Order: sequence, then C-alpha cells, then structure tokens
Amino acid sequence: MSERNRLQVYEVLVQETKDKFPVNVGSVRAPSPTLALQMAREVFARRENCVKVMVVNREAVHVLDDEEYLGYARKKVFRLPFLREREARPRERNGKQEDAG
Amino acid sequence: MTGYMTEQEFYRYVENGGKVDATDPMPEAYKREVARIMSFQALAEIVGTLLSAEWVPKAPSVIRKMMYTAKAQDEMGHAHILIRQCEDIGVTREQIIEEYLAGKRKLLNIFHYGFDRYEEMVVGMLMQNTGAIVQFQSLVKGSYLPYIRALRKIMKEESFHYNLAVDMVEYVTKNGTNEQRQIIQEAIDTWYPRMLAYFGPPEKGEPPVDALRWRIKCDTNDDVREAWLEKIVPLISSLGYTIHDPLLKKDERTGRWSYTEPDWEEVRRVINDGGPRSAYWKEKIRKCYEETRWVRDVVSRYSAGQAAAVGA
Amino acid sequence: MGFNPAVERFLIEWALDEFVVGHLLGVQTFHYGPDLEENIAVGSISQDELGHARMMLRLLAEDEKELDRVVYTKPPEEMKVATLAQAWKETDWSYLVVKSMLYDVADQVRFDFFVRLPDEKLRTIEGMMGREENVHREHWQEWVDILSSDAEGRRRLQEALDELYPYLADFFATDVYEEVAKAYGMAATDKSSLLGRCLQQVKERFRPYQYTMPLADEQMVRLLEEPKGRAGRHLEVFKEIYADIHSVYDQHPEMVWG
Repeated sequence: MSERNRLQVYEVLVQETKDKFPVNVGSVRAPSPTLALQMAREVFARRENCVKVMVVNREAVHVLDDEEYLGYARKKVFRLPFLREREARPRERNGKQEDAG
Repeated sequence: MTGYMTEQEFYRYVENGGKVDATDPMPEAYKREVARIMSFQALAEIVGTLLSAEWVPKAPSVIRKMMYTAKAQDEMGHAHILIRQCEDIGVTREQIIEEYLAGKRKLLNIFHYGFDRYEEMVVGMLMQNTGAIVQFQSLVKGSYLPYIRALRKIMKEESFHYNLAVDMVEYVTKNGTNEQRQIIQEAIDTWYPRMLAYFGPPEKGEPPVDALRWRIKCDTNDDVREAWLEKIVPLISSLGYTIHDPLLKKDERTGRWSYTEPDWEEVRRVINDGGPRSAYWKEKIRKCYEETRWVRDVVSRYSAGQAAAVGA
Repeated sequence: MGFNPAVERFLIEWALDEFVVGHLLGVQTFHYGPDLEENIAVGSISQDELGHARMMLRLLAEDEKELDRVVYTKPPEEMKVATLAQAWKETDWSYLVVKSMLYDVADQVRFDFFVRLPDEKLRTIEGMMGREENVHREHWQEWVDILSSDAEGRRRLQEALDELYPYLADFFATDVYEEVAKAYGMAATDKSSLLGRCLQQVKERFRPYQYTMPLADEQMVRLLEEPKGRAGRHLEVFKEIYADIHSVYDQHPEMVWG
C-alpha cells in the first residue's frame, strides 16, 4: 500500500469559454503531468467544448479553507456600497439563519 | 461550517439540512457512512458497466458501437468521480476493489445478472437508467457536498443515456421482427421485478437508518421506488409494451402505487450468495485487476520522481 | 461515390484497420486497469478510431446502413485488416502499449501519404483526424516512457516489441499505395520506402530507451512479400474478434439498427 500511496493526484481546472475564468472541476490520479492533462480532458471535458484544461499537482497547491475566517467578508460592512443602514439584515444560508454581524 | 460543533451539534446541523464538505471536521461515523454509500455506488458502476460492455463489441452498427462505447465510458467516469471523493476521505479504489474481490462487499441484486440477448440489453439499459435517475434525483438533495457535486455531473450524463435507451427500444420496435419485439416484452417481464427490488426492502414504518437521519440519503426506499414507477409505467406503455403485474395500480386519491412485492427472500439470496453472473463478473475484474497490478507498481515508483519534482 | 476503385480500396483498408483497432480499445475500456482514469482515456481513443473509420466510409456510402455493410458483410478473408491492427492479448498492458505505439506511427506514415493526395473530397476528414492522432501518439509515447523507467517494464516492452515489430511489414504490404498514386497521376510510391520511413520513426521513438529491434531493415523489406492480414490471412485471435463483431449483425443482416 505504501508504494501505491505515491501515486499523484492532480486538481483539474477547466475554462469553458474565454470570457470566464478557469474553474476547479475535480481531480484525477495520474502517472505524469502529460497523462494527467489527457485524462483530465477525457474525464471532465470530453462531452462539452472548452478552451483550456489545466492540471496542478495537489501537492503544489497552497490552501486556505478556514471557513470561519473566510466568512468574515460579509461582516466588513464598510466595504458595502450601502454602508451601515442595511447591515444587520440576516441572510438565509443552508437553510439556517446566518449571523450577519 | 462545522468547525466548532460538537458531535451532537453536527448531527442536528445535517438533520436540519446543513451541508458538509470534505475538508470540514465531521464525526467518524458520518464519514464512514458517506464513504460506504459512495463506494457502494462506485463499485456498482464498475460492475454495472460490464453488463452492457459485454455487448459493446457485438453492436451491430458502427454508430451504435460508438454510442455504447461512449455510454459505458461515462459509467466508468461515474465510478471514477465517486471514487475520487472516497479517496479524499481515505478510502482508496484499491481498497474498494480488493474488498469486493475478497467477498467483503455486496452488490445490489441487478448486478448479479447479465443480458442473454442484445435486445434484452436494450431493455435492461432503459430499466436501469430510469432507476438510476430517480435515485440520483433523491440523493442529490443530501448533506455531503462532494457527493452532490459528483451526482450533478453523473445526472447530466444519465439524461443522455436515457435518450439513448429510449431511442434504442424505439428502433428495435420499429425496424425489428416480431421475434425481437417479443424478446423486448420478455425482457421487460424479467427486469421489472428485479428493478422493484433494486430500490431495497420497504422502510415504511421502520425507524430511519443513519444515512436517512443524516440526510446522506434523502428518501426512503419506498419513496424512490414510487418515483420510478411514476416514470417507468407511462414510459413502457408509450413505447407499446406492457408491464405484467396484476396488482400494479395507482391510487389517484393518495397518488401511491400498489404493486406485487418482489420475492424478498430470493433477492436476499441473490445478494448474499450470488446470481447467474456474479462469479463471472468478479472473475473478470479479478483478472484485469491482478494482471495490471505490475503497471500500477511501476507507475507508483515512477510517481515518486514526480512527487520530488514538485517538492512534495 | 465518385472515387477511383484504387482510392476506394485504400479507404476501405484504412477504415477496417481503424475499426478493428477501435473495437479492441473498446474492449479494453471496460477491463478495469491499469487505472480508472486510463480506462476512460482509452475509451476516448477507441471512439476516435471508430469515428475515423466512419468518416472514411461516409465518403463512400450513401447512408449508415450502406456504411455498415462495408464493415459487417465481408467474409474474414476479404477483411484485409493489418495484422498489427488485430494484434490483441487480453489484459496485457505492455503488449497494448507497444501495439498502439507501432500502429499509430505506421498510421501517421499512411496519413502523410493521404494528405498529399490531390483530391478536394478527401480534405474534409483530415483536420480532426490529424489532431486526434497526435494526441494518441503522445498518449502511448508517455506510457512507453513511464514503463521504460523500470526494469520489469523494460523487459515486458522488449518482449512485446519482439513479437509486434515484424507486423509493421505487413501493414505496408499492399499495392494500394502504388495504385492510388497512379490513379492521381502522382510519382510512384513504393511500399518499401513507406515502410522505411515508418521503421525510422519507430526506432527514433524507442531508441532513447535502448530497445533492440528484432529484425534488420532488409529483413523487414523482404517480409513485404509475405503479407498476412493484408492478404486476409489472420492471427488466431482474429477469429474471436470477427465472431464478436458479427454475432448480432448476422442475426438480422437487413435490419437498420439506427
């Protein structure tokens, strides 16, 4: 098993059209970057046209996913165009009321 | 969003419709259940592909051959996307296949059979595909986000397969002989009770299983079965065939279907002890898996170099 | 449909090669391994090859059924399928990698011949085919590269190469190139020069890994006089391939399956 754990996982990004940014659509396990690209195309973009496919070795991706911290954006009401007046309105999310701070 | 929850809070969260991502903290039991359901479906896709793949090389026209190859390739793709979600929470594809080969994983009843005729496959695809569609429409409402994302991709392709399956039945019906139409009707008779059983034993009145409480599954087996009947009954009759079930009837007042209960004893026996093709499918996968093991080993050694290249 | 018989024969030979290659890769798609992603990639290559066969036959046939008749109604001895195209060992990955690499290189030599033909009607199919074949060659070359990084991989590849390399001669052992060149009033194209070009390219692809070619070029040229698949004399495994392809079709040969 330890041998097999060395197999590399690549995150796949697909750009649908030129006026959009590429989006992370999933991942493939592949022997090499060249095959990862081919597999990414066949797994995620064979049925629909796109303009670009990218793969990134997962090990090379730096991640920030602290949702609590990333969820503070809404609390920075001074960045909103309507400033303070409407700040306190709670928003619906995931079926639960979210504290708008 | 589950960062600071206690286990109790987590379960209340998912029971109330909260969603969970792969990177969120989650109780071990929830993670196990999610992995169990996703890997169960992944294995079903791998074995299920063999049922139609047996007929792909025999497809009687160039364009049909291309269509079936594309369809069966999609199914391998479904297995792939589910397996990637399993791997992200620690259950590898090797583990899934090896447990199956060791007899530690069960398959739903329909994957223990095969198709004896091309025309039977045409019907089998239609029955299985409609079953898959109603099942996924239910599962996609669930709590585990990676599963939902995978299902969305899968459902898109299932709608292609639905059209392909209907089109094939229509072609054989229109251009085939009486004997072929007869085979289609017989295949419907054979696969209808199997499909009824496919959705699992009745859960009405039973306390909900974990998967239901935690909203990994969203509807009872009974409700999904009803949804299938709602779809398949008018479809079969619009194609000019009959479902031979004397009890089949919709109560217009309640909207519920009545039907002849599958022989659950037989279903359990097939699932536990195997059906006509169980050993054959398993042997096929074993041979392919074992005889390509050396390739995965070479790739793994090669990949160590790839890992070093990105500084991992 | 307005083609010289030699050109028609060229297109049919080519289409049948592609059909059989696509058929076998289709079988491989559903054989789990070496890994799921690879199954899916192979599935696409299979559909590409079947698609190429269909594109070629569409140049000759009025409709799908007429197109199918070209593929499905020939007795085995009239299927002039290259031995290389029909070579197949179930679940033998190194064999498939070498076969596909050799076939795709030979196919490229054929494709280069094809694009030089001065016929507007042929131009419609080459763009997509050419691009897809480039990706296929890259695919198999990558596998040659990966498997060659390892002693066991190298041993298996050499073994496959020993068996499959001689089949390259049969691939070009047909008079169709000369006849097509004559039909278009082009300079004579002899099969030994096409074979020579192919062997050159094969050696370039395998040489970096120190593989040995089992036969010298002169021996290969002599094999041009002993066509196998190209003369309808097939490998044992072709019986099974042929039976599979025909099993449903032959039950209702006149049926339009759509």
